[in-house]
Amino acid sequence: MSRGLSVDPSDAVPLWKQIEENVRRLVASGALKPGAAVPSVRDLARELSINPATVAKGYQRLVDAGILAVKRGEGTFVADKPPVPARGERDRELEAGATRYASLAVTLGAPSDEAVEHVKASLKMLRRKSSGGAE
Amino acid sequence: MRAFAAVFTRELFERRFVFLVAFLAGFVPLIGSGLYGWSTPDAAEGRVLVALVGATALSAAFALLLGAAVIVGDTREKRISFYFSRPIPSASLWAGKLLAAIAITLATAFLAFTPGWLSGNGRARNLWGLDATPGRTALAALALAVVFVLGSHAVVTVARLRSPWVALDLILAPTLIFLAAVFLQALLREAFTNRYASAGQIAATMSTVLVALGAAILLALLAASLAQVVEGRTDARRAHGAFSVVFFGILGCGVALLGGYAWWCASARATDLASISDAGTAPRGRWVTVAGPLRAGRLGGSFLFDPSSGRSLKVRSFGAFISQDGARASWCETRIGFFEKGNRYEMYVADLSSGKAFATGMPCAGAPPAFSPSGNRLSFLDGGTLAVYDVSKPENPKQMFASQTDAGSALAMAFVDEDTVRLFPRVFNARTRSGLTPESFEITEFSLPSKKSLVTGRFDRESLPYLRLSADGRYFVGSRKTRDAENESVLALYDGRTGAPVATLASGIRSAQARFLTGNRIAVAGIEHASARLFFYEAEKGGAGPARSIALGPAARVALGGEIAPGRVVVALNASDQNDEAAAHTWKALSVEASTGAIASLGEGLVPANRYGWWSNAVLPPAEAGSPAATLFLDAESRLVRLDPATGARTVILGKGK
Amino acid sequence: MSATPSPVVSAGRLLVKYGGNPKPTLEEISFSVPRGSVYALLGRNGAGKSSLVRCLLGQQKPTSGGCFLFGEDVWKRRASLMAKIGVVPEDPDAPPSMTARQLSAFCAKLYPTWDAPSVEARLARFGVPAGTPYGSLSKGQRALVSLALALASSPELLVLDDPTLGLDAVARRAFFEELVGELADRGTTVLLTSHDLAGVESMATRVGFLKDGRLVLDEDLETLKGRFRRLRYANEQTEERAEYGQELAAFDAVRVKVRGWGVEAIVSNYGDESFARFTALEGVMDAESSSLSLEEIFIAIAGETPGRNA
Repeated sequence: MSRGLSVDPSDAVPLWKQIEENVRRLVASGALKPGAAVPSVRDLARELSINPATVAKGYQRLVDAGILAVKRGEGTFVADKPPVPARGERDRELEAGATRYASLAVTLGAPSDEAVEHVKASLKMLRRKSSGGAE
Repeated sequence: MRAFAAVFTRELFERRFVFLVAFLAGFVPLIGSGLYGWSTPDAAEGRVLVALVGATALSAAFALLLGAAVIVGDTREKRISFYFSRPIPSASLWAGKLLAAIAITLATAFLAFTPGWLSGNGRARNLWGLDATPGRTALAALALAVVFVLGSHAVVTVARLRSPWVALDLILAPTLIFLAAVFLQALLREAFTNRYASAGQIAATMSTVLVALGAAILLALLAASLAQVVEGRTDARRAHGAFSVVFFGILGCGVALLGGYAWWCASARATDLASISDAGTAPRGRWVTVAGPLRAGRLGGSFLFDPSSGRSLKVRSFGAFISQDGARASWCETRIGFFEKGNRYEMYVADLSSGKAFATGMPCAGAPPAFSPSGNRLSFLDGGTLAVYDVSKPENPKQMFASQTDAGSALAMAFVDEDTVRLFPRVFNARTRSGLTPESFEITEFSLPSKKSLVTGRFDRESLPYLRLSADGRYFVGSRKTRDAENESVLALYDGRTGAPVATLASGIRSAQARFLTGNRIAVAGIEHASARLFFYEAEKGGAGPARSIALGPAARVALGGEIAPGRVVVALNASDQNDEAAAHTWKALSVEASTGAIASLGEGLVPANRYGWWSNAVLPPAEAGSPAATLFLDAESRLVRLDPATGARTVILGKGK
Repeated sequence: MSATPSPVVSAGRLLVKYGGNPKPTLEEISFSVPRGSVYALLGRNGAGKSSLVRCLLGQQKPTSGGCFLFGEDVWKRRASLMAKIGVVPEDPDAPPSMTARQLSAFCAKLYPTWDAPSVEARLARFGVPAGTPYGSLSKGQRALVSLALALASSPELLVLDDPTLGLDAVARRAFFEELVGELADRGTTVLLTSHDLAGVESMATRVGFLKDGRLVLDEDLETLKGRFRRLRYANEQTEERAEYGQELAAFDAVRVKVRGWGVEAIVSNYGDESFARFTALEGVMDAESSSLSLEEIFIAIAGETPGRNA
């Protein structure tokens, strides 16, 4: 599973947030099925060479959001029923992202088709990455 | 403790190859002896000797190397932080490393020495006359190991830590050595002029001082190396600083203590004397010369002392000589020490009225000098040279006259008046002494104004008596052993200028002593047939026999004192012929009236203070009644006391008693 | 409200001056490392990091000021404090003739608890021979041995002085993996110095930056990254004027560049609310903010990065 999980320490986004977003993405894309096991804090920290406290924080947020669940003595797993983001919120996020991207395309003077092609290609690549290491 | 053990065993393990080397080296003397002959008589001793030399050299080499490496080596290589990052107390680290170095050194010595020693069957125990018991050898080995290891450590600390503290070290070390030498020299001066300690006692005192200095150095090395590790840790500069401060601090204290001790010994006064071994009185005046041991540890000394003012002058000589009028004193000081070269004796002259002593720079040979009657001129024999100096300003003596004579030590000299010096023979038992030249038997007068000498009389070898000159120079009193009975002597009067016999004063008596009294009388005391006797003579009529002969009582020893009142003389008897502490209590002092023969007891346990004067002085005291000198005695506890003849009351002047 | 537990490491007004040098190496540094945190102390070679570490470990006495570990004065209590501390020094300093095994046996006698099998296990994991003398090992192998030794006593504090200096990528990875494992298992407090940002951003919870003997930065990493941002916006009047105006006043701008299309500013006091107000200001157009990497933050503060060692 961790094949789909990578972090960039020098990235602007805090590491714990990167982990959180990565896991959300994997779960949402179906690469991580409900009930599937995720690496322990220790193992993931070792693999990524990052502070376990950081991993722990990301996991905690995921647990709080109901995406992950801890089973005592057995480990951490994807929740049986991970919440799906509310439609309204999802639409707002997509719209905000689209607006940002569109203004960027306009600024750069890219024609609409080209802009859309880029979006499709990115989606494809990301989806492939997420499912590449899936069980 | 665990950390110390861990460091200690680790150091030993790291250097385990040293043990192997030492073990193998131990067999070298055996192999050598096997090649050159095993059973020859000297072979055993040879093996032991080779083993000793080899073991000493090998272990010394390892001691130096280890001392340099264990702490400073690690500090310089920046490896010492390995230990400081662990829970090892700084002191444990220091102790573990240094003790390991010392232990390795000792083990090396043991391994390299034992095979050879065992093969010598322990026969060669007495190496160079030293009693080398195993205990003492082990102690010596330990001391050497510690010195070598710590010394090497100290040297590399100063030399290799690359710290500016080196400048301080280079200044302080020679300074302290110099100061120590100066103080030691001062102590040596005090010790060597202390004739009340035997050579063994002086050696014991000086060796105690040297051992104490050695202990101070060892303590300084130990404390400084510990401070280096505890305070300096990984900082090389700070380590060196801590080392230097502690090392020179301790040594500085040690040297200061040495200086304090030397000053304490040198600053002793006559009033510090524990007891009086020897006392002399001035012919006139109040001053006395006293000598004896000081309180424990302060050595001993000779002093000039004025009882009325309490003034004291230290005399670093075997005694001082006071002029006839009691105004001047002189003595010969030896200059001992590391810084003295050339002329090792110097004459001192003291002006007793001011109590000041001056180093005149005049050489002297240790023979007693003579003062002119005014005290302004001083003569002495320096080897074969008779020299006369004007010392009216003692700090600036002027030589007036010098003349060669072949007689040297056989002669004594005295001023008969301000311008004339008389030389006369003073030899104990001329018959048996060889090497006496004809001049040794002559009486010679030197005239200072004309600078000419004149032989005025002569004795012959057989009959030369042991001479003393009277204060006015008119007579000699001479004593001669009779041929038949060695215990008895003849006391006779001779002309002071020509040496012609004038009269026999006493014969067949033992321990004869004479004194000139006022009224042209002479008192003679001695032992006749186990009984003390006192004789009074009219000077010129000596041949006619004594005017009075007084039996004093049974005695083994007698001492003739001074004239406490006109015609009244002091004499002391002792039934014991020993010269020990018990005998001091059995002296009885008496006064005897010359005209009537009446005897009065002056006190028990008292002996005249100047009792050795008869034996040691070439010139007899002047006839004087009631001088302060006559009332000075030594009591049974070797204290100097003044006796009031009227009341019999005693005042202790010097000495602490028991 | 519970009291904050006392920090594991603290330095108070630490002044270090070497004789002959008028400028102090450390100018009255004060900082502390809270329990459970990973503190990365960054700075160029020669900035004084090693001096600071030596003072903190009680190996060197500062000119003035105090160093405290677990609340105790480290100069006075060094030996007992070292029982709770594991140290990986910058220069490997074990006796060169000792093998890793012998070093472990030696240390076992010194510490209250010593996990000798863990040393063997770690060395096997690293591929470092336990029977080879320390002096014959490569620099990377020595650092790993030092780490194995430092961890075997289950220390409460780990002090690592530029531990990955000169290590190749493989050794560095092995090193950090062990460290992470230790943090996960025991929550050890870590003080780590480095002149290089590699690994710091992923491990540290707090950073400090030592420049010319002063601690110009001493902060939680996340807070730091939160308040430093890059703002880009266009200003209507930009073409007519060359300077920016007061609009950035709320943000403590550190570096501002006026470009043809607008202004790019690195600000040190970013807040979402302030940004919202900023975007609403008259004349401010197309405002956007983005985060900065740690390296960019350092450049903004000090004009240099600790990395790119000289």
